[in-house]
This record gives sequence, C-alpha cells and structure tokens, in this order.
Amino acid sequence: MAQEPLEAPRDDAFLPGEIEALKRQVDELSNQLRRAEKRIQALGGQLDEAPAAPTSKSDLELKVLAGQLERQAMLLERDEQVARELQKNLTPVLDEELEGVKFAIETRSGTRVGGDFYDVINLSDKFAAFVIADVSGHGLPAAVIMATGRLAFRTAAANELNARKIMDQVNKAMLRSTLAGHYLTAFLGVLDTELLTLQYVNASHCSPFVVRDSEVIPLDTKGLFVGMFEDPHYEQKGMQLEQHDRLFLYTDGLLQGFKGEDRLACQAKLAECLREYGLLSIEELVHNLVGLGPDHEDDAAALGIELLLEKAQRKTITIPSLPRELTHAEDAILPVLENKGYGERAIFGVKLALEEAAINAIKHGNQLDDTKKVTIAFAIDEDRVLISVADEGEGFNPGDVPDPTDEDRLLAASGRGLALIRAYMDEVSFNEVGNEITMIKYAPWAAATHS
Amino acid sequence: MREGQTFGITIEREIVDDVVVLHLSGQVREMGADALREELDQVLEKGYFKLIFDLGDVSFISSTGLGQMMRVFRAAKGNDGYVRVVNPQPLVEEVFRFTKLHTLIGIYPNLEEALQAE
Repeated sequence: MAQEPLEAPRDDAFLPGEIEALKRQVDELSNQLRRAEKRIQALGGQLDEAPAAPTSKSDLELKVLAGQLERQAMLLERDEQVARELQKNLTPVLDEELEGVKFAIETRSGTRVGGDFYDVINLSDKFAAFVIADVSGHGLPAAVIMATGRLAFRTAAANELNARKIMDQVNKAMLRSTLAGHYLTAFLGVLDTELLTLQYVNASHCSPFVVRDSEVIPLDTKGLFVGMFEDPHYEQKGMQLEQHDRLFLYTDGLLQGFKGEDRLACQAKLAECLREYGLLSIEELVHNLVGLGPDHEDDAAALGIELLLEKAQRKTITIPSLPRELTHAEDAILPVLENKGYGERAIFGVKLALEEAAINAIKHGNQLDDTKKVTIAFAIDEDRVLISVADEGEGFNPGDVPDPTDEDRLLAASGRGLALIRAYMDEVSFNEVGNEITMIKYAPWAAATHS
Repeated sequence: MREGQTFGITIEREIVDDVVVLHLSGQVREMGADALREELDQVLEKGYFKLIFDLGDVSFISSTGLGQMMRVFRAAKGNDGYVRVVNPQPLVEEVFRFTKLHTLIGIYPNLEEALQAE
C-alpha cells in the first residue's frame, strides 16, 4: 500500500489553541462513535433475531437480511474512512524550532485503521517530550481513543516535566474516558535538550531503541498499558544520551515485517537490523523499516530522532573511595549553587543527596576499596543542577531496595540513603548496570513546573 | 561551628541525673561519624539508656547520623530508656520527618521539655 504523506497540513500543532481544537474533535468523534455503536447494536439485534437454521427462511427473507448487512457494512466502511481522516488530521507537524534534534517519521496504512499515534511536545525551551502509542482495536473506536489519548498527553505535559507523572495522569484520564475494554500501549520520553538526558516510561509498548554506533539499547520499564488499571505501577528510567545518538520508536505493526514467533523475537530481529544498518541516515532507517514486508492488516508508524546537539559541558571530579574526599565535590558544586541563589533548602537537599550517593558508591559500590574511584559529574545552570555519581562496582537494582519507612524497617541502622535522595532530588535515575546514579534538582523558581 | 570543624562534629556530654545530654555541633554525617560512634559506645557501656541529642548547633545530618541514632534507640528501647532530640533546625528536622524517624524519636523544642516528658 502507498505510503501516507508524512504529515497533514496542520499549522497549529504547537499553538495553545490546539488543545481546544482537539477537544472539539474528540467530542465530535465521540458522537459519531455513539451513532456507529447504535447501528452496530441494531445490526447485532437483527442477527440475533435471525433463526439459527436458515433453511426455515425463504430466500426472500435471506436476501433482505443480506441487503441490511451490506448497508451496515457500507456504514462501517464510512466510519473507517472517518477514522482514517481523523488519524490524518491528528498527525502532528513537527516543530522545526526544536534546534539540534532531527525527526524522521513515516506511517504505513494497513487494511484497517488502527490507533497508532505519535506526538512531539515542546515542554519548554530546554525540554521536549515525545510519545508513541498504539490503541487496542481498529476503526472508529480506536481512532477516538487515539484522539483522546493524544489530548491527554498534551494536557498532562502542559505543566509537568516528569515522565512518570505525565504517564500517571494520562492513565487516569484514559481510565475515566475510554470505552470499556480499550486501552493503549505507550512510550513517553522527556529529553533535556541541553544535558541530553532522557527520562522515559514505557507502558507495555514495544521497545524503542537507542542506536549508538553499533550498539542498540532497548528502552523498557515496568508498567502496564494505559487506561485499564488504577495503579499500573509505572517506572521511570533515565539515560544519558550522546551527540549523534538515534532513537527509533515504532508501533507493533512494524514488527509484522519481521518473521518471528512472538513480539520479543520480532523485536530482537528489528534490533539486529538497526545494528546492521545503523550507519544509514535516520530518514533512510525509518523509511526502509516502515516499508518492510508485504501489505499488512495493521497500521505501522515509526518515529526516528537523531541528536545533532552537543551535550552541555559537564565537569567531572574523580575521587578515591574515601568519605573525606567528598569535600572536593562539595566545594566544586555547593558554592556555585549559592552563587546562583538556589537557596538554603535546595542546597541542603543537594548536599544530602550527594553525600548519600557518594557514600553508597564508596561503601556498597566500591566496597571501601580505596584503589577504586568514584566519579562525580555535574552540570549547573540557572534552572537546575544535575549530578551523577558512578562507582566501579557491579551495580545494584534500585527496585530491590526496600522502603526504609516501612514500619518493620524503621529501626534499621542503615538503608535510608536512596530514599533520602528520592525525597530531596526531583529526578533520579540509574544506568542499566546500576552503578551510576543521575540526580537532578531544580532551582526553587523552576521547581513549580517540575514537581 | 568551630574552626577546622567544617565537615566534622563536636560533641559535649552533659549528665543530668540518669540522662545523658549530648550537645552536638557541626555536621552529623559520614565524615566525623567515628567520633559520634565512639561517644555513643562509651555512653551505652556506662549503662546510660536515656539519651537526648541537642541538635541546636547542627546544620546538617545524613543517613549515617540517623543510623547512629537508631542504633542507640534500639539499645535504649530494650533497657527502659529513650532517645530524644532537642531543638533541631528546620532543615534537619525535615530529615527526621522524611524518614519517619520522628515517629520513634521524640522531637522537643528545648531541653527542659525533653527532660520532663513522660
């Protein structure tokens, strides 16, 4: 089937009026959907009334029934067209203003309209969010949920930068509004375009990949799909991206181009493909992968993102595994915060988090071996301070650390470090291995939009 | 805070009947934790299980400091004693609240009230 044009001519994808426009569209579609459902119900009723053994009916009666079915099918076909139209209209125009980030997008239409959607949202001059999602089912219901979903992401992202909190809000919104039994899988990434950190939440969506030279890294987190559960237990992870990294996001229709027993097997093949063709431009990569295979029932969409920007300069301090050496990092970081007017409370929090992270690295990571190093990297600007602390240990799984405020743990003499870091810092993430923690604290005046 | 004690801790011990009052100043954290650990060992060895930490001059506390307090709290609890905190600065008090330790360790505005509390 022919490629759909990359974008519909929408000129207001990033203007404030868009949310209202989207709301109107959703309302209108909901009405259409209700009408369609009534028709389907009526059709179902007729079928129920039809006797089980057609032999007892005359040919004439059967013909009448067949005619009715045909008309209903035509109406459904029209709904399908409405759904297709909607999908097209909701396709965002990507903002050229997001400097230093290149996007490549392609969609492939299947034989039925699915609920694939993607979006790129400018959160502020430093942050951009991108979403890719796939609604269960097909046709008009899927299209309506797609529209509702896109609206929910835009609304939630309007005053929130934390990926997990955005996903939680979207889940709540979708729980209230989705038609019974419908849900979506979604991936949300929030990119700091200066420090090139990516915070992401994957709600059961097929794994996006980061392609870095010949390395292909899946972006998975725990959490159930959106719109089904009160508490889907979303997890947020973070990753330090580098200049020239590419992100490849897609919907599961794309996996149909790969032969494999299940989704995981197909994903593994896709990863292999990305590794092999990693040198192609992001546009070529997206184009070739979406075009793979014969025509399919499912729609498919792929969103490629390439980082052209350089990471803001970070300073790095490396210390041997001795607690007293931590003063070097404090002396480098805390006075700068004071200078920028972060205030006593924020500085106290950063100092505490830095101590907890560094002492964990020294004691648990490097096992007090003072021949091993702890590397503390930091970047400070007017709005936020980022600190990462890495050790030479084997890493740990932060999910395994019990909550020290549980009643039966309150008496413990240790185990409070990570909880304190989470309490005092605004964003906390770990590398895959678990031997590097990255923490962000926003300045008091910037914190309002972040917490 | 005393000269040369920027990252350390100063401890002054005062005994009021069967209660040990430790006036701490500086920072209660990993650096300097050994001094606090030794002091607490001595206090426990001498059989004092009623401890009051005067934190009025403490500007910073980390999980290491909390851990030491919980260590003596457990000993005190098993010996009919108590651990109380007096006059913490607001940011220090918050650390107790975030970790919910204020539910175990009483926090009092001044020494008199801490001594008289039931």
